[in-house]
Amino acid sequence: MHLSVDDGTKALRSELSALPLNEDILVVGAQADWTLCDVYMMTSYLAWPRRVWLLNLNPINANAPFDFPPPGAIEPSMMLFYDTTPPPAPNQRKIGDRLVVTRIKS
Amino acid sequence: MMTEEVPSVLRALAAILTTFAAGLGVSALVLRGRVYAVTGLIGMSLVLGMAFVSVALFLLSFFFSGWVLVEGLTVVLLLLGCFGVVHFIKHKPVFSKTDGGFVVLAIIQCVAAAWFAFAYDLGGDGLVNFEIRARLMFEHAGQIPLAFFNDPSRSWLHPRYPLFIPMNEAWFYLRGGVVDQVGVKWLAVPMALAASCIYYNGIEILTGSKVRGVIASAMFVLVPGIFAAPGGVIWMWGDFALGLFFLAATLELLLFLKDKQRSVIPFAIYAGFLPWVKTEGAILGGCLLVVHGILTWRASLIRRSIVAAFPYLIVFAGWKVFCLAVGAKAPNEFLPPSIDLVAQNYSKIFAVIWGVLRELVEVKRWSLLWLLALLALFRLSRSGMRVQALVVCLLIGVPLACYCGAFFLNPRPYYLNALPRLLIPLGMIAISAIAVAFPLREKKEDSVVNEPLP
Repeated sequence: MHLSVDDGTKALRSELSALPLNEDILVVGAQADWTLCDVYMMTSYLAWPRRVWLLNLNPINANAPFDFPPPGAIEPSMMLFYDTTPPPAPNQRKIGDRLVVTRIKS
Repeated sequence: MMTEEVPSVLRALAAILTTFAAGLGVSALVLRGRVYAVTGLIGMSLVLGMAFVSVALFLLSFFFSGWVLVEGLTVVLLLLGCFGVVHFIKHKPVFSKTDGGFVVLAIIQCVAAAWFAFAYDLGGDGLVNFEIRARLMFEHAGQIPLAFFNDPSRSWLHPRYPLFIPMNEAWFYLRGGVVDQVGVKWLAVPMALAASCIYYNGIEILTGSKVRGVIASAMFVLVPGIFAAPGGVIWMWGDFALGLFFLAATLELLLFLKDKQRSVIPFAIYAGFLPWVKTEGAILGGCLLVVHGILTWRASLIRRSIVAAFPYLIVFAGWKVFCLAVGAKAPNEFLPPSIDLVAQNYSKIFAVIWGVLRELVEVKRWSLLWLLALLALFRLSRSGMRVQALVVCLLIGVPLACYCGAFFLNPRPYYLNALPRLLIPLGMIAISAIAVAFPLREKKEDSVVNEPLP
């Protein structure tokens, strides 16, 4: 629903399934509402057993209620930018209008 | 093994009927020859069946997997069902022609539960707090991967949440042979039916009036917060299931006040399973056991109180041990309580109380439930049911006070978000009080009163 595209979950699942199982994924966004949280939770739901973390660039407040950054340094093999302009990178794919998937490790 | 081509209703029927069969057998063991009404037996069998399936699947999954687990558990459930059928042929449950009105109501409720359940998806909480465990279990041949419980990137998934709902969903997936996040909502139907039957039978025995039983069973569908609002029966999030066990245990407790010879076993089992349904079930179960302890102490029945606490302690301690063993860690969501904290944040106390009061008068969610409950408790306390009114007051007030304390210690800005769902079990008790106190001009009907144990 938040991805503004039909079968967004299917497309996301297909991107995630290409990753090895023991990898980290980082979801990045700056939403001031629950939509980023929903996208993160859905990614985490679909990506098991890969570890999924959330970096919310907004400070935590009543409107931007949730983040879940990794406890230390990680090398994510994929980053998902939700409603945020990602830095240019070679392996990028858009899912709907708001989500950009960037493969860091091939 | 079924496949995706089999309609979800048939897969649901396979899961629900095997669950009901098990419940019938467990009910036979619990009732031990007591005469019971058909309606009460259906409610009890559905609740105990779901409890049995969840525990049996969880425990068996440590030793078996794949088709051995699924077919083996099916055989166990069906054998229990056969035992139940044989038992209840011998000890025929009672069905009165005047129960016909309730049967029509229950059918309408089941249809409404199914219709509304499929009008909504599982929702975020339904997926990530409950269903994901069932899905993982299915994908790992019936064995929930223990790595799930100590995955640091998923500690926000509340790995310490107990497994009653996930195990019932997993049984639907395993028995049906497919993961079906839509079809799993069929499980809302037996839950609604169980609630309806428990209300009808419990209130009827308590008051001797079938009309009051019908009022109670009709009311829970009419309160959006309990039926259709997030957390209600149609969502499969665990709050309604928790309410189901809490309601059944509370009615047993109230019936104990009427009949001191009443068996303690149903109460002990319902209260004992509360910590297995949801985390806050530990609070609700604890409150029930304390109130029960006070009542039995007054009646010099201490042994009964000790027996009643056993299932609760086993379930509570068992789940804690499991969580410790698998390293299930949840992020610490609460500040440590201290006098300094209270002194620094005393204004939050008023914010919490104000938030709770505002929620109780939220008409869109609760209609007039809490206002009517207040009037009902006042009316009961003025009639001959003063102790019953006090019991209901305690069972609503003490958990609510505990929740307020938890809100106070929660530093998150959205700490009150969970309140409407936490109120569901308490609201279900409030409905009982309203039905009992409802002003009716009635002649005393013959009710099916459970026989005391020999």
